[in-house]
Amino acid sequence: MHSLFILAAEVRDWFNQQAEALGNNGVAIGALTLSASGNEPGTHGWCAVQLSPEKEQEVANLLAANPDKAALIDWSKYDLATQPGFPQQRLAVRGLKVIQKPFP
Amino acid sequence: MNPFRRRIQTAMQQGGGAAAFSPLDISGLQLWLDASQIVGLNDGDPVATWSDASGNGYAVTQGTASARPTYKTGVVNSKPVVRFDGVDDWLDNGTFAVNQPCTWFCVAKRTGGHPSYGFVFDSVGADPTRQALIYTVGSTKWTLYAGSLVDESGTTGAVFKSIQAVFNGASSKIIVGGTETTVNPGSQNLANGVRIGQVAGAGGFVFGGDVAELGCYTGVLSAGNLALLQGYLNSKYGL
Repeated sequence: MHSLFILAAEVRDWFNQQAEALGNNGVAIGALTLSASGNEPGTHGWCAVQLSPEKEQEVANLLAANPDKAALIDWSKYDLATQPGFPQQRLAVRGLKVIQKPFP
Repeated sequence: MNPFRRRIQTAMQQGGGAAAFSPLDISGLQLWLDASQIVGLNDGDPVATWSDASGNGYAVTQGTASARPTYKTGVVNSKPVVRFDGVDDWLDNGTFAVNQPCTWFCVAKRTGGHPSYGFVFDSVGADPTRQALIYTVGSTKWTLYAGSLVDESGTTGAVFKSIQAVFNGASSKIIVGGTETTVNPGSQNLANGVRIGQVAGAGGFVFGGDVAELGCYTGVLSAGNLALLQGYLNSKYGL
């Protein structure tokens, strides 16, 4: 299963620190590419990753131990093979859009 | 593995014996990412390295676990693909470069990702050192970029397509599923590396979908060689 994390700007640094501690070996969420309007500035970021059952449990334990942070993090699991559109659907549920940029 | 051994291995994998066509049969192959030649991974495994089967050593890699695409078996004509999740996956090689004229080929399908553009490949650097193959969501067309943005003439939709892209200034062309469109995407060369699955620069246009094969030759392939390549891709992927 894939894990999708959508989170508010306030917890991005904390999330990245925890991801690094769990072995991500890099920044999990860089730019804030999501907002309610689909325009800048970004208010939320996201990442998707395949976690082992052991890592999933570690994440669950981490969020349970930090309810103030967990309240700002939306964690959902999906099957990348059968639900390729899940990330966009989840964004819609959360009232968020990918920020539309002009072609670079 | 040297190119000759790789060619024999590819022929054997295709079940066609020594007569089977390989992209290595055409000179000038600079980069060849072939999901069917990925070894050591099982269905669903993250892809940290996608080796370059051209023999030139331009493997594309991803060091950050959360940004690795996924290896999926039995997806198109029983062949595997590298699946990009459309959120944050990408692979790159920081040294690959190719000047115009050059010819790219690819088998891919877009299923999600950024709502405007999905970059199958781009350079790692910024303009004016970029070439890109892009899926334009609004028009559901495959698009080339080398300073200007130009579409194929047809409409693709979310299905696997073979794509051949000749970057050659005003004489460029894009061939999608065998249908050729003359385009002028600009004259930029690709320098400073190649990125697969996302636009150069962070947080941009992310490709969501499957890439089965992607390669690049120097020069403009002849009509005969383009046809050979097209036949190879069609046969291999049942297109």
